[in-house]
Amino acid sequence: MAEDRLDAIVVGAGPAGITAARELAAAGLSTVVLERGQYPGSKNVWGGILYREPTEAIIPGFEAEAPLERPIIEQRYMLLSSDASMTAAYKSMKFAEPPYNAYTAFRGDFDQWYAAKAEEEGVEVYPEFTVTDLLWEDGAVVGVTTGDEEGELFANVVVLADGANSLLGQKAGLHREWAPNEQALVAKETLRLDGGVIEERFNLPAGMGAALEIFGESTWGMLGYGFIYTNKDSLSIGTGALLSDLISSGRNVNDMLDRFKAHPAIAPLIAGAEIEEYAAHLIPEGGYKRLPTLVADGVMLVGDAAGLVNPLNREGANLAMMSGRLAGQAIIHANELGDFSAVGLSRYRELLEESFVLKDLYKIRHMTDFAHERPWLFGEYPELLSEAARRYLTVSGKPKSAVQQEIIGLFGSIPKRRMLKDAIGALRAFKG
Amino acid sequence: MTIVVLVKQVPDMNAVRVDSTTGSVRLSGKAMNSYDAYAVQHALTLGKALGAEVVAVTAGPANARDALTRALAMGADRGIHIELNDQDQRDSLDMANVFAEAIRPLQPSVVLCGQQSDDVGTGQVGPQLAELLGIPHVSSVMSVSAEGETIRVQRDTEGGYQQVSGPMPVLLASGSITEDPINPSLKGMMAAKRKPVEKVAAAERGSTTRISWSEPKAPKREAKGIIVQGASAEDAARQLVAWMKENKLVAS
Amino acid sequence: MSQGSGVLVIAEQRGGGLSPVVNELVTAGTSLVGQIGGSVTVGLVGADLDALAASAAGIAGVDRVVTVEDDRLATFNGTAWSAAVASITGNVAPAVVLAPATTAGRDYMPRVAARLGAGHAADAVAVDIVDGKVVATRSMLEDRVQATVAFEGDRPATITVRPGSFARAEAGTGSAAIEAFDVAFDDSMFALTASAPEAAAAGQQDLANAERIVAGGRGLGEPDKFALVEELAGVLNAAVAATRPLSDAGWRPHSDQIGQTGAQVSPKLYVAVGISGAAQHLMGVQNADYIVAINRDPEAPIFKVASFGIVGDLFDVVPAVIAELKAVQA
Repeated sequence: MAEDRLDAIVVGAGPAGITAARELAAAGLSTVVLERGQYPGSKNVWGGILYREPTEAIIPGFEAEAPLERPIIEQRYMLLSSDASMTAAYKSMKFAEPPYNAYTAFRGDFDQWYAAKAEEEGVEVYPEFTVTDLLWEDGAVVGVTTGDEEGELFANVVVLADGANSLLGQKAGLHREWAPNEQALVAKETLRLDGGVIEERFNLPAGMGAALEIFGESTWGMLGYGFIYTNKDSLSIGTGALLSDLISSGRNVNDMLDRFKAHPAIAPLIAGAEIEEYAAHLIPEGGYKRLPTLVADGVMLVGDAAGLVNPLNREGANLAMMSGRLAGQAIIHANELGDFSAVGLSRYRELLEESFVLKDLYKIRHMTDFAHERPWLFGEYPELLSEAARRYLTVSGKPKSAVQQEIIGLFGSIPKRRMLKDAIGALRAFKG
Repeated sequence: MTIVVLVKQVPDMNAVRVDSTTGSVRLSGKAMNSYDAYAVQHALTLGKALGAEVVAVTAGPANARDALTRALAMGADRGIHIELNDQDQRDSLDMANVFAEAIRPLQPSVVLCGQQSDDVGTGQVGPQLAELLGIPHVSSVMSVSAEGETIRVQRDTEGGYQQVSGPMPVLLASGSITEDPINPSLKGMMAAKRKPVEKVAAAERGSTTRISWSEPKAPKREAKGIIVQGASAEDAARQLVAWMKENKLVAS
Repeated sequence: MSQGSGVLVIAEQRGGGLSPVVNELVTAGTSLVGQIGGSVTVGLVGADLDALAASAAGIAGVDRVVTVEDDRLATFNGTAWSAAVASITGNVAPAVVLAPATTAGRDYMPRVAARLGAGHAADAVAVDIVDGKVVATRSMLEDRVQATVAFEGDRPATITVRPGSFARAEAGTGSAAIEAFDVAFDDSMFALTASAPEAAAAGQQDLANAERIVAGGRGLGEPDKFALVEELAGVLNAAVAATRPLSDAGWRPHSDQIGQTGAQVSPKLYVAVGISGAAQHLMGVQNADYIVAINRDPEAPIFKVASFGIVGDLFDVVPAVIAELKAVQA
């Protein structure tokens, strides 16, 4: 029975879902967003970086209204070996003045603000309702159900914005269950630390922030990275690795985080900080080659649920928001056609291919495989580099030429063919 | 016939953070006061029995609407939002007065409210509102029913349940019962957005200051009894029983 | 400070006699009067008050007893009680009015305050004089934090006091004067009729009247382990109770439940086995004379209120206690 049929139902009130809903509401289409958490953002996790320009494109003027933490003026990369670290950092005073490049932010705060904004624009958001299944008619999705008879809702299109490991995406037949090598598991903590102490420790001007990405020992030598981002008066610290690697190595992501925090290069940065919050979450890592089918009759995937994450450049939210906007545009187009089948909604994929979303994912499509097929990249190489650096920097009575020989000898242990293949493979992976 | 039910938006009790060093408290989140959820249920029960309109009333700033929306989602017919930004400066009698002024024109037959709020827990507004309206009140109400023009309630006391009954108008303050309150359905939540909510200004605050509050802080709690730690089970048991004999808690 | 003088304590009945909480409030009153001067008056409202008035008059520290007696006051009625208490207050003109923070006290006292245009503090755990003002300390946020309420202006400070907050003044020592007051009640105050309280289920009845209670909580781990609680209760000749999570999980019937939404008990001895002492549970046992706690977590809140606590594995400690009790009682 198609009672009050909505134009669209969005499942999930994260950046992707809310953006899709806003796009539809702006075109006068009736849209309801259902969120399983107590409030939008309560079940969402990210490292914590929001990029200004892509966000401005979706939410003009957001900087003046949204709850943001610190603008990032320094990007630090660290390579950790068991007892040493190497750091490369880029800090620009250009980043320290508007327009800023990126901010740190909290999902709970940002998503709530964003959902409230959407409500002002005519979107209806209902938290604490979990969509348990899709409703079907003649092979097309016609709505959702939250479990009881009073909980059935019908619409022309259902937008699945329910995040990584979307069960509904599987139920819609858009993809099978994600394989462990297509997902990363990340554990993250928010550590409370006085803002002044943060500025001193990270050498930042008042109110400014830094983003640190840390490789090697931070992930027990596995493919992945650890991170520390500075918020106003807390630090977001986390680490993650490919789920398949965690499983095969028998390691626990929480142990990995504890180990990371205890590393001699990291511990002083977080000394005295109190744990305020803990979260663990999955991140899609399948990349372009393993994208699910994005559209079927009456249903489409956006954001993490669609696997639209760029782990190399550390981008997820901006892809999510853009995919939400493009999904909205595709639905508006389908509405004009009166055709909500996969064909009617096919505009979505086209728009994604034309945008940075799929262009970027396509470019880096070899990245994950490249890195994953080379476990020595994160384990063996950092140790070698660290040892080489140590020898180079140690001043002893030894003649420099002897030291040089030793260092070359260190790398001699690596098969030459392998190094060559690594170099070529890296070039190919980065070039796209 | 009109039934009025008061609802209050409180912080999320599961999200209370106490700073271990300073003892200061951080609140976040929004929820409907748990006792008010029961009050709304009782209001709906009576509304059905008496064929009366159920009006949900809340007082607070513009963004304190969630409790009201939830009451409408549960089944209340319409809402009244008394806009108020200086709650911190009003004591319970001031608040009772705000409600009295707003609901007197409705001439309600029954006024329901929660016994106390989850956050402050003073439990004063209900009886004080009854006094200002000049109607009888019953607190600690566990269940309600109506028989013609008579209201019957079950009241919880230390000694067991009391059956109280009488004519309207009456104010009922709801206690907390064991079953969880009914969660509004999705249809209910959607319908709530379409039910009328009237905004009214709050009555002026009187100039009398009766009380002043200090900043809430987590107290340093010291144990006040004897604590046995690190002893063997047998030793601990011996000490306990000896203490019990000393305090005449066991015959020896 | 208010224009009145001295302290008025409103009494409450329990099991045919005066509730011990009256002795506690008299202690509080005596302490206040020591700082602000004046006398301690005990007010009684009800029917057939002769014996109760005599008990009240005998409590150490009581200077005067006033009674409001009426057959219609045989069962509690908040509306009538508040009129009576307001009337007594008008007559006695105290600086402070103290009532127990029981279901009854928290029912009529706010209404009394409204009648008098006075400020009110509910469920206080301490009452002091600070900088010439009456200050009540009360907890909030499910007992996680405390704040103080200072009374301003010239009306009496009206306060309900949590049972167990003060020591009990000695009974049977004094001989204060007893005076009867006449209060003109409006018939409308008796529009509601109430039955005498009776327990809902046999289980609850046992708990409400039990002298000793042994209660089990989450620390037991599984439903079968509750047998330990039953065995200990058997040896102590005590009633058996459970915390809300256990009755919610179906381990025990709701009639066994103690806590904010379960039975309110006031036993002489309360033994908490594997109970952490979350605020909601403690609210149900605050009237116990002696609380014994057995829990493996030294930080468990129950240890802050226990008269005797054992930190240890209940599966070792409880059998040891049972054995020791059997040996002692043999």
